Amino acid sequence: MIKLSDVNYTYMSGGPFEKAAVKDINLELKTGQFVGIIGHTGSGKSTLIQLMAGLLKPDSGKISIDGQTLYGKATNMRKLRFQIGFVMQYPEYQLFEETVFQDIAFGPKNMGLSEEEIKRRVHFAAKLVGLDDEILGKSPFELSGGQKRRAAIAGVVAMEPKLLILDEPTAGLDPGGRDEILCKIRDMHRRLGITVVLVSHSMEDIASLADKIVVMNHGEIAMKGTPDEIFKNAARLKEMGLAVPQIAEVCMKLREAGLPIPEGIYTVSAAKAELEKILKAKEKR
Amino acid sequence: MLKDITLGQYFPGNSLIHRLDPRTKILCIILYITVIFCVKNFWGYGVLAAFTAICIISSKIPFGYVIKGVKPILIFVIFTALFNLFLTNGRVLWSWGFLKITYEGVRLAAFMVLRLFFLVLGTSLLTLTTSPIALTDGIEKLLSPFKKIGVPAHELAMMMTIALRFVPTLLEETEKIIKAQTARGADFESGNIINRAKAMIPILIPLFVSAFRRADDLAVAMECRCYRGGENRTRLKELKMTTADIWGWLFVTVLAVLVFTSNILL
Amino acid sequence: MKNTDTVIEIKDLEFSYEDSDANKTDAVLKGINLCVKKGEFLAVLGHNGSGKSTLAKHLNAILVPKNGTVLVDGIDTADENSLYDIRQKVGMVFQNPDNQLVATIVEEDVAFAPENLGVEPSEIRKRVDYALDAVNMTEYKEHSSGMLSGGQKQRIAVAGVLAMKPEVVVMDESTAMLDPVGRREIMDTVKKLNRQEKMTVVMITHFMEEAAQADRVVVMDKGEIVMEGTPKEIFCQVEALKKIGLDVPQTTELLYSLKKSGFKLATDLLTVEECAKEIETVFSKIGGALCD
Repeated sequence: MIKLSDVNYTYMSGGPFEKAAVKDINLELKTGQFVGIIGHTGSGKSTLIQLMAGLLKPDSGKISIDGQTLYGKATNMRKLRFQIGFVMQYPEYQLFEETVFQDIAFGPKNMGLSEEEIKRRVHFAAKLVGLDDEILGKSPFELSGGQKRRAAIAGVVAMEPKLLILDEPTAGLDPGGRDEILCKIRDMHRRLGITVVLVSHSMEDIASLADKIVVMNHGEIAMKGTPDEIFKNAARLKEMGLAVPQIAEVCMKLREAGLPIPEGIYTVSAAKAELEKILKAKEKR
Repeated sequence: MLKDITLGQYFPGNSLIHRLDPRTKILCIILYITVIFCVKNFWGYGVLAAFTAICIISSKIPFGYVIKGVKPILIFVIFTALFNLFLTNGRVLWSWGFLKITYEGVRLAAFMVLRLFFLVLGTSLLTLTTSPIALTDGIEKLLSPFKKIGVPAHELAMMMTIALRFVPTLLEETEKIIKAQTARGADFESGNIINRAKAMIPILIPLFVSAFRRADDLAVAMECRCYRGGENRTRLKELKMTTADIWGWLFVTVLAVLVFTSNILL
Repeated sequence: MKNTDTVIEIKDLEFSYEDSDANKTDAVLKGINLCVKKGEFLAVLGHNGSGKSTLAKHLNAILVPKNGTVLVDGIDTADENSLYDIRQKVGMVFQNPDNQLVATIVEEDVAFAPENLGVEPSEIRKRVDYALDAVNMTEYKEHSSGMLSGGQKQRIAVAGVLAMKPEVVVMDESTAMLDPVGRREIMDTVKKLNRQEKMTVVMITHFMEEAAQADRVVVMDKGEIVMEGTPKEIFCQVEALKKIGLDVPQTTELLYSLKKSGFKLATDLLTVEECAKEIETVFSKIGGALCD
């Protein structure tokens, strides 16, 4: 679906605006995948997703979405961006319209859709993120923090992109708000069958959602693979200053102590199931 | 781009120029600018160049870094130069159709370029060697005699401090919002002037909302740090005139005298 | 009589925000009673809207009680004449690192509060140097704050508060906008202040990992204090915490769910090491060798 070959990007060096550059990025994501991107601040992960979203032009290399090249000669970038949804960090800062309805409709309107289609999409997107119809008539600035965040995400989802990129959608939210957003994102991914790219600092969140993980370090892809493959390598993640899901660490310690827990266990429920299995096997003997 | 502007940036250091009292520097720069616009011949510019070079060298800031300050106004400089070059009447040196270059034009263009060049170098050197707080303190102190006639010296200085502090933050924010709205298909490039102005709304409203929120937060944070206006406020770095300042004064006065005598004698 | 071990004493605190429509007067704080002891590290845990930030704003008189009293070092926060004494005693660090630094250059920002208090320049110098050293930012003193990371900016904000020589430092969700590295920096700084400088710290947060490092935890929900105790006492109450929209560490959750399905193990353990150790010992007790 999206393919990056030998992509390089360097920011203007010097000055207070210097950001992380990325080098030699080769990455291919398949339609319907849920991809988690991890890496600490300055690792180049936010540059990477902006390149994917067509918001930055690579210095060299090629990025294509379903065969269309980003910034290609024959490509209408504005039209191509309609297919890519980008939810920035703290997306509530993008709200500007008089009502939530109008704000969610901003994207679809830019796409030149009919009134009816816009209306359908707004209601659909609002429902997906869990906003009631009565909220649609309110000013976006009246909403609570969590609601604002969801309204902003709805504004992107309403464009019905094939690829949805989210940059730390749960930053600053409390556990309740975080679980709600993650649950909606999982829901969207399942129901719409779209490709989702999620950037997060929380290993626990990534572990529970993604089926492919990309680890960025110093502007390069340090690791990529399934969560099992990535979290197996806890030592390497720690080297890069990244955390490992707590449960993966517990399992590692238990393995060291001789308990026969297989690798690739990193959620509470999986760990519980494994431990119960071990117990049953013991009781049989 | 906005990001290349060195004007207004501070280059930390401990040179003689850095240590001068900001009031000295502000008043010297005013005199320096007056001198720039009074120079009437190339001897004067020679003196000016020597003076500026001595200042830059003693500030210990890399020469290239100071020169970089000229870059953003380069187009403006070139435009002014061409304007003077072609549109000044006088002894014709070269002509082609309606275009003609005169001796006076060449002279005037060169003067204009040099003036702008020295102007930017001088002011860059001021901001590069003076921290924003010192600069605003200097302005506050210089304005304080006018408090009696109602000039809010402290408030003006505080406003400048905060503005300087928030410029980079808001620039970064603007960039972020532009990206977010671009991703939502906003079109900033096509259409007539009214459409383009309308296209700015999705950027301006979030920017204002954010600026107000920041101002609100900052006000509370300042109150929590016991801010209550300029009354009885002390300073980490009290402004103090030292012998270095006297030398600074003498130095600039010598420059002024040299330039004015060269104007009369040559 | 004034209790010398208590820095802040909150009695029957009630508060509601004035609303434009008069019928909407939801109480934000409903009768809070709380004492902050000298030298302790207290965490106030709660979800957004639980009233924890409103409570924080009462600690240095940004808000004053509708009913009840808040005493800081024996001074009533409602006494307007002592406003600056209270604010000097209780320093507050906020959520957004970008919105609380006043001056561009690090040391000049740290000097802001003592300058406002009219402290002698030589003394300001001492305080600024001390405060920057306490947060480990001395080498950045002449830097521009725009170049710093979020965690570093927040440490400058802490230093700016320390320069007032306060008795209590209140961190009002000061880690909410930081990345894991920045959060760790702030937690390390706060713990160091508490242990080495004997600073009283009140940490308002919704991250349970942070609350777990405090001496005492107070849990708030709907404007009331619903739990109080040591981190271990609090986090073993998995159901109750989840019910009010809070998290428990995954380690605790694993132990809890194992216990629910019949294992006999302790659930008041927080770290990965403690959790692994507990499972290991319990499993080795259940007859036979672990492996074949």
